[in-house]
Parts: sequence; C-alpha cells; structure tokens
Amino acid sequence: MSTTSSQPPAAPQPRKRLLADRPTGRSPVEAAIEFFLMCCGLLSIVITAAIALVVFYETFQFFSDPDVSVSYFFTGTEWTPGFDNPRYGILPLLAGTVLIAAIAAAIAMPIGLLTAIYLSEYASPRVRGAAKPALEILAGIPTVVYGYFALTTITPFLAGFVPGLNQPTNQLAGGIVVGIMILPMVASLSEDAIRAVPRSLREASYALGADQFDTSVRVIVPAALSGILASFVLAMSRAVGETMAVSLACGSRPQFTLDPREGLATMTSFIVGIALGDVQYGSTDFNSLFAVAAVLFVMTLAMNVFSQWVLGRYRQVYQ
Amino acid sequence: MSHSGPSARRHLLHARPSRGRLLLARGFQLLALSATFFGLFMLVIFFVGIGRGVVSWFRVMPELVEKEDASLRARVEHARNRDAFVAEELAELQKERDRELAKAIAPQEKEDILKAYERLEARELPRIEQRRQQELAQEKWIRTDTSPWGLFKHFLSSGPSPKVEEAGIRPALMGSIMLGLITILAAVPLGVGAAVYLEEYRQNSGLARVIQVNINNLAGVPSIMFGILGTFVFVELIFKPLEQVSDGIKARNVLGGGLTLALLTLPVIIVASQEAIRAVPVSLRHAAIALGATRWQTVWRVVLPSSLPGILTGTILALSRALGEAAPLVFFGALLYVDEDPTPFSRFTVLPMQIFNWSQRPGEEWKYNAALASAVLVVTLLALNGAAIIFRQRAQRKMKW
Repeated sequence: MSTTSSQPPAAPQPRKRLLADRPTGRSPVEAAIEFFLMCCGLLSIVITAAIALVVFYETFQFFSDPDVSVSYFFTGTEWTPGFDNPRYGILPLLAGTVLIAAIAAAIAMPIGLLTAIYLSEYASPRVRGAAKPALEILAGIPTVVYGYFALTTITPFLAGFVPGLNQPTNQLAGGIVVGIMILPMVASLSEDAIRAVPRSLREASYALGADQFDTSVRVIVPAALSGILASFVLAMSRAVGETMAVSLACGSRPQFTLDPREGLATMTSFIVGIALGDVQYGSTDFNSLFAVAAVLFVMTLAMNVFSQWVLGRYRQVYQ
Repeated sequence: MSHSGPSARRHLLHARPSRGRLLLARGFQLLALSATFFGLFMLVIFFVGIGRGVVSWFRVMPELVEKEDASLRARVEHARNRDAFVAEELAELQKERDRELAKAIAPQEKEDILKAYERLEARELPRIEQRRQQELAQEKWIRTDTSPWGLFKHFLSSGPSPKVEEAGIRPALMGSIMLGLITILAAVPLGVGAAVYLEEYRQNSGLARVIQVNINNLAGVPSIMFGILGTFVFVELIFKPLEQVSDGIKARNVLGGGLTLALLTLPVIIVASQEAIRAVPVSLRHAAIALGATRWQTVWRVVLPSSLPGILTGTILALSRALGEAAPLVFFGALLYVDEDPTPFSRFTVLPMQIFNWSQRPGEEWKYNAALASAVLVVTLLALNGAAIIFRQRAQRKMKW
C-alpha cells in the first residue's frame, strides 16, 4: 500500500450549480436599497435636529437684539410686542398655557383614569363595544372644530351660571374642550398600562377575598401607576401644544392673571396670531415668536422624554 | 368555653362586608361607569352642537338668498329700461348744467354751456352703457334654487365672498384634497421605508434605538413646530429662489404645504407600518430565505404584501390627521381668502383654515357657515376612518396565519 500518491491530484470535476453559488445579498443593488432605507430611517433624526436648529438659531437672533433682555424674558410679566416700548416677558403667555393645561388635566385625568379602570375591570363586552368607538371618534375630530364647539356651545352654556365670564373668549371653555380632546389619550394609554399588570396579581388579590373595588383601587392602579403617570404626562404635553382650539376659544390678548374667566393668549395662540398678522418678517417682534416656540419645544420635549423614561422603567419592573 | 357567637364570626374570611363598604364599592362602580359614558355623552353634545348650527344654516339661508335675489332682480329690471337708466345716470350732470345756465346771462354763454354739457354727455354715454351692461349681467347671480340641496350644492361649489349667503368652501375643499394627496405620496414611501429599515435590517442596533426614540419624540412635538420647520426649509430655502425664476411658482404653495404635513404625519405612518410588519410571522420570512431570496426580495415580495392592510390603515389615519390640521399651515401661509382653484405651485387654503376664519367673524350667520363646513369635514373624516376599520377587519379575516 503506497501512502503517497505519485500522481498529481486530478482536476476537480465540474459540479452542478448549487444554491450556495448564487449571488449573495450583497449585490450593489441591495446595498443601494439598504442605503436608501437607512436614509428614510435617519430622516426622523434629521427632522428633530432641524426643528431644534431653526428654532434656537432664530431665538438667538431674537436675544441678540439690544432691546431684549434674557432675564426679563423669563421673569417679566408684560408681553407687549406691538407697542412703542415693547416688553418681552413670557409669564403672561405661560400663565395662559398653564391655565389651559390645568383645566384640561382636571377634566381628563380623573375621568380618563376611571374610564380605563371601568373598561378593563368592570365592563361587559357591550359597554366596551360602545365606549371604545366613541372615544376613538372623539379623538379623531379636528381641533378647529373643537374650537368652534367651544365658541358656540360651551361658552354660552357656561355663561348661564358662571358669574363674570368673559365672552366670547375665556380660558375655561378652552380648557374644557382641550380636556375632552385629550381624554381618549389618557383613557387608552392608562388602559394599556392596566392591562399590562399580570393576571397573577389580580388573582392573588381576589384569592385573599378582596372585591373588585379593592382590587382595582388598591392593587391594580398602584401596580400600573408608572404607566398611568406616563399617560398623564403625555396628555399634558399634548394639551400644552394645542393650538387651534385655544386660539378660537381663548382669543389672543396676553394677560398676566390666573382667572379662568378671562381669555388669555397662550404660547401657541400667540405664535398663530403673529403668523396671521402683518408683523414684518425679521423684525424683533416677529422673532419673539421663535423664542416662545423654543420654550414650547423644550417643555414638550422634556415631558415626552420623561414619559418615555417612565414607560421604559415600568417595562423593566415586570421583566 | 364556647367559641361560637358573634365575636368569632367577625374573623372568618367569608364574613359579610359592612353595608357602608358595599355602598362604597357600588358607588365606585357607578362613578367609573358614568366616567366611561362621559365620553359618549360629550360626543352626543358635540354632534348636537354642530347639528344645531347646520339646521340653522338651512333655516336661515333661503330667506337671505331670496332677499339678495330680489335686490338683484330690481337692479336688472332697472337696467333693462335703457332710456330710464340713461336719464337717471345723466340726471346729476343735467342738474349741474341747469345751475350753470341759471347763472349765465348772455345767450352766447348759454349756447356755450349747452354745447359743453352736450359734449360731456356724449363722453359719458359709453361709460353709462358699460355700467348698464354690468347691471344686466347681475342676472346671472340670481339663484333660483333655494331648496336645501340647491343651497348645499352652491355651498360646495362657490368660493369665499363678503356676503354670507354667497360664501362656499370650494377652494378650501380643492386645497385640502390636493394637500392630502401630496402628503400621502410623500410620507408613505419614506415612512414605510423607515419602518422596513427598523424592522428588517437593523432590529436591535444602537442606531435603531436612537431612531425609535426620535420617532416617539416627533410624535409629541406640537404641530406648529412643523410649520416653522416647513416654512424655513421649503419656503426660504427652496421656493423663494424659485419664485424669482418663474412667475407661476409662488413660494408658499401646495407642494411645500403638503411636504410639511408629510413631516408631521411621518411618525404615525412609521409606527403603524412597524406594527403591521411585526405582525407578519417569521415563518414566512424564513421560507423566503430558504428559497434563496435576498433580503430586499423577502421584504418586497413577502413581507410588504402581507402587511399591506396594516400599512393602509396607518395611511388612512395619517391622511385624516393631515386633513384636520391647520396650525402648521397657518404658519406656512395658507391664505384666508383664495379665489381660484389651487395648482401645486399656487397659494392655497384648506378646510380647517376656512372653519377657523369663519368662526372668528362676528355675526351669527358666519358661525352657521362654519358649522356646515365643520359638518362636511367631520363627516368626511368619519367616512375615511370607518372605511379604514372595515378594511382592516376584512383583511384580518382573510389573513389567517
């Protein structure tokens, strides 16, 4: 037996075409498609960055005007852009926004939370079948129409029993309407949070003899609290950013008061007011809207990031 | 030592709760139930409010139209009688001539005055004839159809007007439709592309997480910010230079507005497409790869067709959001008074803007106009969303994995 072969190895036989021989996914077409899709994905980052860039650049322009002082902007109580001696203190606009958010929260949070509890713990399928579509429709109505509703139905109704109500624009009607607008959001997000509570907790509570009320209020809601909190904060951010309905319902006169019977301009309605008016582009008065927009952007971004963080932590607890 | 009796019973697990406790539990259930129906209640009130405005519109319009018709008819009749019309128009001139004649003494002066005024009258005649033709032309504005359907048809087909009974939503409707189309055409490819990238190509990388966080943040940004961004990018950077080049291109046009709204609705489409793509079972993807498909072939021929119903639902949701938005367009420059039909490069207005404008005008009748326009908008959106829901249900029934 010879262990070494004296002849050179024969040439490899021509073999059949295997699947493994086909061109791999790394063809240039595939690479180009992947690049295009990556650009689509990056677009959202580009948009966020672009908004921040535009708003902060113009804000910087605004603050570099010698008439404008940064400290007064954040602490001043007069917002009078059109006047001969303009003063740019943002507190009146902030007061308007805070009033709207507070009234909307007072309406949407309790009712939304109770709705979420009822729909996930108590409700029969028939009630769910009626309530969920109703909430979806409520969420889908355009905000301008809500503004019209506030002007023509809510304000006259309120005028019947609220003394000293300013007509036709007042913060109360605006707050109520924004509350109705964010109610479906609170209800559906809280319901998601409540449904995510594991069944074992519920069953343990019932096994110990608690009734539905005890279970819902003393076991489930505390367990879902972070998700519920996140839903509240997200809804607040939506209320703060609401533009058209408050423009119609609250008017555009900046005042520094916390009386909901008056009609105060909010940050968003001021931006709309300037955009619709004939203030000269590039003037200091016009650039003031960018400063307001910057504050608005930072506020809503902070609230959104906070609620995302809370949701992220909440998901880990049950992992 | 007896352990039975009332004191022992209290410690049993199945002891009956006190009446106050039962009341509390029942009360809470009732409270939660009424909270749930608060939403339904407000919806009913809302539709009643809009409905009242619409009914008032149909009640008030016929009289207003008839009054306008009557005054128009009077003007036409007056213009028909040519001699009377000319005589009335010349009356002032003739009074002036008579005053001058009375002041003059010499017959030669009177001759001159008469000749001068004859020349003036002759010069006036063509202008008077023109005015008479204009008055006669008013006849075409007479609206004989004051039935509800006729009034509504007029509302849908006419443009803005300072007169309440003449105003309509046609340019706003055209603008909204064109804008919605552009938004969808721009947003859907980009949104679906981003969703495909996130779900198929880079499921768990750091970049995907950053993009996901960004999408969630963008969903919460107030809509007016997109107006600021859109104005800066599309108006200043792109269309203002183009405006110098061509006359037919206006800077704040429908194309820019549609692209601005596409940025706004991008997160909605991305999230809906992501959910639809995630719902496609992995086995289908594995089967495609086993058959030798490349990644893109898998996506294009297997994953996307299966997730199409979900993507379409997301598209319709995005479309209804875009149709209802006004804030970014207000900043972008949608006008409040647009007369002709919009082209992609012209200025425009949309239905929410029209409602906004009419709601702010003093006077009850303008609010009725706003109510009817709101009704048109809400009914359209309800029909769109209803179609999306039915479509989704039917597609879910067909696709049984």
